Amino acid sequence: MSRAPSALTIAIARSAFVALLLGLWIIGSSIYGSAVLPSPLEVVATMFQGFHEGWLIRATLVTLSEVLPAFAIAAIAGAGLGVALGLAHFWGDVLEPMILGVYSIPKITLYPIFLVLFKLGIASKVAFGFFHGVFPIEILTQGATSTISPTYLKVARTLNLTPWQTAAHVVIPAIVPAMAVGLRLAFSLTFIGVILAEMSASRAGLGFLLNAADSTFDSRRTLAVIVVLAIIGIGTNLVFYALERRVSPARPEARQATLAM
Amino acid sequence: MQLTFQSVSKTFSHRLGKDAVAALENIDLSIASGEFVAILGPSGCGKSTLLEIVAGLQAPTSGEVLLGGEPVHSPHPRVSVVFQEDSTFPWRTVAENVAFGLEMRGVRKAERDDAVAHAIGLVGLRGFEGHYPHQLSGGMRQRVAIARTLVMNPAVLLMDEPFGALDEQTRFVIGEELLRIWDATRCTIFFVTHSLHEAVQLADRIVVLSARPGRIKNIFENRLSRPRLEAKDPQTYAVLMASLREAIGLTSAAFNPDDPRIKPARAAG
Ligand SMILES: Nc1ncnc2c1ncn2[C@@H]1O[C@H](COP(=O)(O)OP(=O)(O)O)[C@@H](O)[C@H]1O
Ligand SMILES: [Mg+2]
Repeated sequence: MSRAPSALTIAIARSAFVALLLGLWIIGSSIYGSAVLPSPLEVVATMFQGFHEGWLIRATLVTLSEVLPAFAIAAIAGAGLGVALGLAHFWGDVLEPMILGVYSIPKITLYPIFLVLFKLGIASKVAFGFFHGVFPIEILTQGATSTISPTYLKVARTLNLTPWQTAAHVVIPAIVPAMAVGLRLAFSLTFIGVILAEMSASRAGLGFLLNAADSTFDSRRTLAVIVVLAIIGIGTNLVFYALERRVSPARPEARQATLAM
Repeated sequence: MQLTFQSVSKTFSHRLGKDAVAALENIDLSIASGEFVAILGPSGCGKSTLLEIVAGLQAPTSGEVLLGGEPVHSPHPRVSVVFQEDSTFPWRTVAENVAFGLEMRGVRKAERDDAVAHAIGLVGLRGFEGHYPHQLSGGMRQRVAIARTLVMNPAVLLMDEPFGALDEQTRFVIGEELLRIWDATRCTIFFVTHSLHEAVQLADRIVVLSARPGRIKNIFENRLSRPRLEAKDPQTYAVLMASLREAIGLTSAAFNPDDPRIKPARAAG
């Protein structure tokens, strides 16, 4: 048995790995030329330019203004429906295969319908982002609710708790860890949905910018947008992991594992 | 509080693809206030069902359970239950778990804290107030569950194989502690078990149920003085054990309808 590596060793190895990837990027850039693969420095310079001139910041704000409401609606609707269907076993059983079925459809194929229903503006992006994000949170919440230990519910009944007390003090605390995972996945998918919608048909936002840069072979802009997308994605993931760690029934080793992911 | 069963029967009506199950048949029993009674029977004979009827979690198909003379229709505030499965809430610390019932009843914090500290002391968990259930062993978690019922100052304590998941040694130790707690609180204890040793260690009276549908097969008075070590009174101990073994043997091994050794014969006949 070797000793478990310390947190410091892991952090050093991780930094080394990031440095290795950056190194490969620089080498690739010098082989293919900066017109095809701009170097990291050129990309950063383009990002600064984009923020300075305003086009990158405007696109980011447009995208966020679509993602945040889409995520909020997906989170509330998904969690609410999940709890309801988790408690009402009959309807849960009736609807579960349909929900899983719709979830498994490649959703981009349905985007034309969203365009018809919600037109080209922000509404179709919000709706499409919601449509991506609502599933993981609904599915995880429903699963957690329907599998709450029957003993917990019996404890609630022997104490003559009101339905409200049972919901607030037994059901919700029991499903919060699963909901936190659901929220993280919901955000990632909402984000993907919004970007896909913007790339398919739109006049603004990071997805639109990505498409425009791609079609003019402006690889600096393309990469600058991708870096912004990565920053948003990774940043929010870290926030959601922190949330998960806080609410998971405190198992230190599980916390570590989630943190490391 | 006195506990009376008046020809209690329970049949689970048939559901999709499942036949109706007669779980309990004509249970007549009277338990005096402050008595410690063990219900002993093979698994599936309806012990948990009987306990849940007393707890007000299930209704009997016919007959009635009386608590202090009043028929039970819903969970009674003076009745507490310790379940076989882990019922501690993983999101609450030991102290918060123990405080749960009082908190839900709106008891003020200062008052709650005293009762919680007292109950935690009774089950020997002082020093673990801030721990979460995952940091405790199975035996300690069941002590938390017991403390959670004790703070409610129950008149009747219903226990459904509470130590079933514990090893024999822990089971014995925690059983002795339960007797001490019972001595201190003098509540009525209705203790479901499938362990003969546990029934003999703990109960004043041992009610043996037959295999499904559960009927009262025998009732044994346990006159051994506590602590019930075999060496103290080997003769009485041996007689009690032998009669229990016989009752259980007759009910569970020879006449268990689920016993694979006799099932083919029944199918053929
Ligand atoms: N809700 C239910 N629906 C149908 N059958 C049940 C239900 N609960 C218990 N039973 C059946 O009733 C019998 C007695 O169950 P139970 O009281 O749990 O037995 P024990 O606690 O003695 O093991 C078993 O055969 C069980 O399968
Ligand atoms: Mg049982």
